[in-house]
Amino acid sequence: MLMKNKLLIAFVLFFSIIGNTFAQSTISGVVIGADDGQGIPGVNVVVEGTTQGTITDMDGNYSLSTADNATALVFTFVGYDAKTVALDGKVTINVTLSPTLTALNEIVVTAMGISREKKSLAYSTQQVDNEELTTVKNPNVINSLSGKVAGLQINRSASGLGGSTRVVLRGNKSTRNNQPLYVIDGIPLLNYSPDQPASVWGGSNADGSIGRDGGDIISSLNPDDIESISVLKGASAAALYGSQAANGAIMITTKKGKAGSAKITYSSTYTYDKVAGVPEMQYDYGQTSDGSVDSWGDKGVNAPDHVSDFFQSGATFINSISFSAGTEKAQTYISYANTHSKGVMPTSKFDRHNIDIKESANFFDGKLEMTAHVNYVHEKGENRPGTGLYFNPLTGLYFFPRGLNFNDYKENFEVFDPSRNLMAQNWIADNDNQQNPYWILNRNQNFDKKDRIFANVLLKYNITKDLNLMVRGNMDKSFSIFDQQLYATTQGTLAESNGRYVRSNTNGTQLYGDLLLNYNKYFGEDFNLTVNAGTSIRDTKIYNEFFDSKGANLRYANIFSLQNINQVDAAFNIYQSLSRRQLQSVFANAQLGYKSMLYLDVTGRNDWSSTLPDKSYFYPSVGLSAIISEMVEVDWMNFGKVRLSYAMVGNDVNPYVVNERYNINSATGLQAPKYGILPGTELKPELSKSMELGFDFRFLQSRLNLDLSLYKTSTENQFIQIGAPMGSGYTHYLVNAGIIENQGVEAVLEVVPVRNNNFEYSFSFVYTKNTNTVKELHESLPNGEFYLTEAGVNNYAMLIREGGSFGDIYGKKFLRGASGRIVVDADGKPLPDGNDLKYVGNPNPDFMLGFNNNFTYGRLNFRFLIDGRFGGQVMSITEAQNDLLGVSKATADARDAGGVNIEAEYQDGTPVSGLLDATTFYTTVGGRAGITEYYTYDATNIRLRELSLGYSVPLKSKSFSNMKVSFVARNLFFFMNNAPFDPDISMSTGTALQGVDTFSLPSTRSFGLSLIFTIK
Amino acid sequence: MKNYKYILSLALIFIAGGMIFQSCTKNYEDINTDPYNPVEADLRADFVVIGEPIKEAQMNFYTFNPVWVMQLQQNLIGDVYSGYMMPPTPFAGNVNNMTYALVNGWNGFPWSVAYSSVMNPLAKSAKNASVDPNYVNFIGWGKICRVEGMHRVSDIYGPLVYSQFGIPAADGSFAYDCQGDLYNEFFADLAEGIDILTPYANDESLPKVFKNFDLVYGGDYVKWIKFANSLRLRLAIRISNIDPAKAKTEAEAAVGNSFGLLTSNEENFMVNGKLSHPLNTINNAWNDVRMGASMESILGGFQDPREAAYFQTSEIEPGVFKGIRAGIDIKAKSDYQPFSKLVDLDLVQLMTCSEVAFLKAEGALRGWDMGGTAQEFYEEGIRLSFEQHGISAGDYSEYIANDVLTPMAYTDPVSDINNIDAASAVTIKWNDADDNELKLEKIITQKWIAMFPDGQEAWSEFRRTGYPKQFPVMENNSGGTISTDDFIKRINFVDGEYNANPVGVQGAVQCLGGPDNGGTNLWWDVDGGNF
Repeated sequence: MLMKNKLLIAFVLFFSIIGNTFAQSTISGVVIGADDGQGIPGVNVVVEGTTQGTITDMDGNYSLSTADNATALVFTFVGYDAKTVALDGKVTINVTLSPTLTALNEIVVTAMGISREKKSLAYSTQQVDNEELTTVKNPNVINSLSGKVAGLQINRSASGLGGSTRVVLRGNKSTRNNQPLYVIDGIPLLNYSPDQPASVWGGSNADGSIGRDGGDIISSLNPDDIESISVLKGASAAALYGSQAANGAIMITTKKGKAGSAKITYSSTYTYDKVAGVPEMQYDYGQTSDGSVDSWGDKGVNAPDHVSDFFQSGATFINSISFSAGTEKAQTYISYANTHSKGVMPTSKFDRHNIDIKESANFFDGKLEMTAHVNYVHEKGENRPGTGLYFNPLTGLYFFPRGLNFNDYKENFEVFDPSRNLMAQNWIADNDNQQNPYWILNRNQNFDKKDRIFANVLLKYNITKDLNLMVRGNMDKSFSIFDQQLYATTQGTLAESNGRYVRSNTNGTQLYGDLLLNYNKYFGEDFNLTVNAGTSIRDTKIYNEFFDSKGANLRYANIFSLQNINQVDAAFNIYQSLSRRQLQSVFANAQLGYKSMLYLDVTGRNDWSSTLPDKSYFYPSVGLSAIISEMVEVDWMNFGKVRLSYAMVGNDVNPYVVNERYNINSATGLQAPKYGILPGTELKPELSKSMELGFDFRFLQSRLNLDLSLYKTSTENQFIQIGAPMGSGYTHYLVNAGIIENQGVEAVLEVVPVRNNNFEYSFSFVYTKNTNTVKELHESLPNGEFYLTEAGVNNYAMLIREGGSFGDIYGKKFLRGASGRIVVDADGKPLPDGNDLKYVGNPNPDFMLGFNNNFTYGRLNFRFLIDGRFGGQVMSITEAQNDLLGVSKATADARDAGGVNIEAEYQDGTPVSGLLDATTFYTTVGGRAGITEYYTYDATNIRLRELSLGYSVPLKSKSFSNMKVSFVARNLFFFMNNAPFDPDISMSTGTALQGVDTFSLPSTRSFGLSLIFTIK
Repeated sequence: MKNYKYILSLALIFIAGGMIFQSCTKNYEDINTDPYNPVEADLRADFVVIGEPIKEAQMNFYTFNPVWVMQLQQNLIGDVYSGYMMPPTPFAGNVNNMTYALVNGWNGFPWSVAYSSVMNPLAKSAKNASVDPNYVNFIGWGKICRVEGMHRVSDIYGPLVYSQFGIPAADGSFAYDCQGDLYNEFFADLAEGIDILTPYANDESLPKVFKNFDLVYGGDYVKWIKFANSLRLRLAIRISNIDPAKAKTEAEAAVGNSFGLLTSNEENFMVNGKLSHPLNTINNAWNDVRMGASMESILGGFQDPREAAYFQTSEIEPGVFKGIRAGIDIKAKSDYQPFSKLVDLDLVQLMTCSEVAFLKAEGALRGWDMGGTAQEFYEEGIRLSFEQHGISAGDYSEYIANDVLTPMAYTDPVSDINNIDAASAVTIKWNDADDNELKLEKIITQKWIAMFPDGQEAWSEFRRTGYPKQFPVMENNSGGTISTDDFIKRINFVDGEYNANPVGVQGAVQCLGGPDNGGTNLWWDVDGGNF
């Protein structure tokens, strides 16, 4: 859009200025934008105090003759701050223009890909442009939004590159899924994760099932292909998407070719990754006794630190090249990107290739516009790190009894077993939650492969100047393969005697089509009407085939193929599943504007979902915005707006649940239906109602801007399972129930305290506060609670309970006396408070604050982002297990100090004098099934999330331009972190397992160099 | 002209939209059908919809898969409380079922498995069988299976939802049957099942249609009737202290049935789930179960040749069998993991002819007409058990003649605070001069040995009779609700029922006649002597 403006102005200025130039002395130079370091075409260059001037060419170059008495040049361009530069006899004047912070006439991408003037919107959106996403490049581009968008919370998966991301906009609303809808160029993306960990073990339960982060689709985009990301946070913003966007929408606009230019842009980033935040360990107290797995033995073994040495330095190399060219009739954009990474976990590798081709053309004098877009991604991961107690090299690494020789087990992770004539695992213990780390890395390897292709076609027919008709179609296919090969002599819970082979094949298919009629007309001077009406159909399928030889055996050891699974009388697990849904909709939106001062926005949408075949559901939204600055003239305020909106959005239920199904279990056969709809009820859509009030003010020529939103969302009729009375024959009833409320405040404050010719400093605060309350659940839920992660045999559970907040963590607590002291038995052993798990915390922060700083000095640019999350609690099963086994630093400190310093009393209430015995204390309190309250930590953390120092290299060459070299760093250090791990990392990016760390890969700090330049 | 265009386009959109919805939502039923998991109508062929649910029930009397379900269903309850086994693992910081801290998260499994995978499929089978009188044999068979599956659950909790299963009261609750009524229901179901199957058993020409679904007897009607009679005797003996008259009637009816009881080892009720025995996984892969100290004391004391048929010698004292005492303070799993493992098992054993002989021995001791004397049946029980485990007749003769050996004292090589003298001085040889109580102790002690590894039934009989005498737990975390010397009596009702069926479960607590905890006796568990 900006480009169009530049061209238009260039044209106008060209004709207005061409007539009156006098040749006297000539000044020339280049005008570049501080935002992208590229030349700005069409900048108006005028001799101060005259009408004499010129405009810059396509590359931002200008040349101007001035009269002798000229003293200064004034550079002006829409969207940028004007700049005046004194001549002082110079013949070359190069100028960098800074974009005006949040330009008043900013155009933003809204639902369905419709562009709107931001000022007319009745709801909050926030746009993040390419530079903010790619300066400190994150291979998973969504992670780059962290700390930059108010109302958005990001938790990363622990599995590193290729891992998925958990994004929540304005709080958790649903018991099923809280991820937003991703939209690329107006078309919804089928984003899904083939698999997520489901319990502290990693897999679904304590039966050795494989748990993993299967990645997701959105993470595989090439950041350089993205023009901008616009975040539609609330229901009002996303109303046109209806039920798909009940959790908000993230709109991604990709790059396309531009008319009148041809260029090649190359960018390269190399980053170096180091682990940070390895759990604190002890190396002084030895193994308890010969053969034992713990380290409660004598002091003084002085073992080497085998843990830090285990991790390697990681490296990530991202290279991308794009070709962009165009005429007025047709434009082309082609890009290729390559990501290659070596993880900090030995043997882990990741590769990605992205290809993007976009063609736009127009026909019949612009009457018909066409865009075709094809995107292909290929990803390959090897040994992507997992999380949980199983198949995790970190458990054995951390637990390794101190005083034994770790190198022995490293070099001889397998030894020849003559009785089987094979290489067998060599480890200190036969225990399901630890194996030889190098055995896991080399003989429990996993492979991931993902291919994704999508093709979009857009046709737009401009019927009249005011009216156009648009048709879009999309085909989206993704193929994911997961393969894990576990060699014979892998621990017995995890594999059978000849090994184990797991293979999962997931395909996603989406077919999407829509038809949209857009009408935009001014009526007289005062009224403006915009109408968008349309219909869409979206059909999605997620298909999975899964094979796991576990329970059966392999016929022949260490041959990993499906035909080698011994199928005779065996319980091996095979299944096939299809999750299919189709959504058909009609929708319309009308906006009536009055004198650019008042805007009324009304939206209605009706959905028909295949998962509720007998029902259709309609929901409306309405919004009003008033531009105060257009109504009253205030000196110190150059823009002021108040907006108010109300929206309702529905959401369908899961596929197939309306019909009672038998299940065929490949191991045991037919299983009678276990789930039924609550007798006397029928399933209906979820309903989310939201109200939003916002203020948008700009002061002091937009050098002080505040955007403030207050919202409240209430999500009702959640689709949940409740425990059925067993006499009914069902284990669960399916019902609609509950009210989950989110209310919060979002604010973005942008300030430019210093701005002069050479130097500019700007900063912004991004503030997010969300309060979640579970208002109501179904009356027959056990204890009024609903589990998101069942405890199983571990003392971590995550649930929602009436009166609580989404994601509350439950753990085992200490029994405490009246004085608050913990109660111990006669042996000094702490007692638990009953058998039930009790509330210990909630992982969601009370508020988040991003602090973004940007310094520009000439060609130098320095920026950094400090990101803080305040409040909330997290639990560490890692620490609990390390304590149990006496390998944590805490246990050594306590032993050194002669015991644990904690106020305690005996069961009769008499206080314990002195310290508690460290071994007794930690072996009681520690462990995944211990008193996990002790392992709950304040989640407050403040970190330097991003930092970059860039320099735009001056180039004389005609063909090389806009070269920028930067030093970049990510996640450099914590100013504060009270937890023993990085609380941003999440075991699962699904709904479960929030706020708990179970041997996740320690977070990494990265730094490196990036280079970008353009060739013409 | 322009206006035409607007209107035309707008109309086009709505016509197109309308067409989509009229034509396409018709497919919604198809789209919303799971292609890979069937509905009832897809399962008529080969009687699948009638027979497979009964198979599902058989797979879950004692759950084969997933193994961890069986661990919670029985292994960490009856298998430990019977004295048979003990985990070396200090689950939940050693505050768990073993130390009388009843873990609600575990103890819901015997209940939920029974309802979702026994009662529920059996009801589905009965419903689908009722459409044709020719399928009545499935109904009879299903009734016998229902009693087999549910009496075990009743003997864990007490009252159950049984007669009112699937029949909600007006307020949506499901009423429990008190245990006395429940046993009447069990007897009635068995009698009905036997009546229905009798004509099939009498007529060899009738097809054995349920053969494909029968995991125990391959569709043999006669064996199912024999089993039903034997089960009837088991239940009769169970109520012998609380309702002696009814017990006698039911026991004599069972013995008097023309098909008789299980009498040979080929007739043992062994479920072939075509999967590895779950205990093998718990014992080998997870190392979560080991020999119990009572087993070591009694089998070791008797120098019982079955000890090596049940257990492996330990690593902690090579060549020696070593059990773990129940409910002790375990600091680390590694301390007790080297104790005696179980030997690998094949089929899931839920009733043997040896047990039936002991049941008859007790009946005879009580003066019922069992067709023989207590001594005859007692020795027959031992003989059949020896035979079942492939032990020679010579060893048997020597064994039953021994009146010297008694259970031995227990020593714990890891922590001597767990050492304890033998719990009983009972011997093997039958002696007519003994009083009834001592004779019963011998019968039950030998039955207990013979029934291994079905800890659920052994725990029930231990509670009823107090035999064999066992070692009390060392740690009692029940907060005073369970007496250490009187041992645990039951498991409390599950949390889920308190929420989903509060009216029903309150009624059940009334039936119990005591608080809903592990210290309240079940209906048939009468304090005091057995006579």
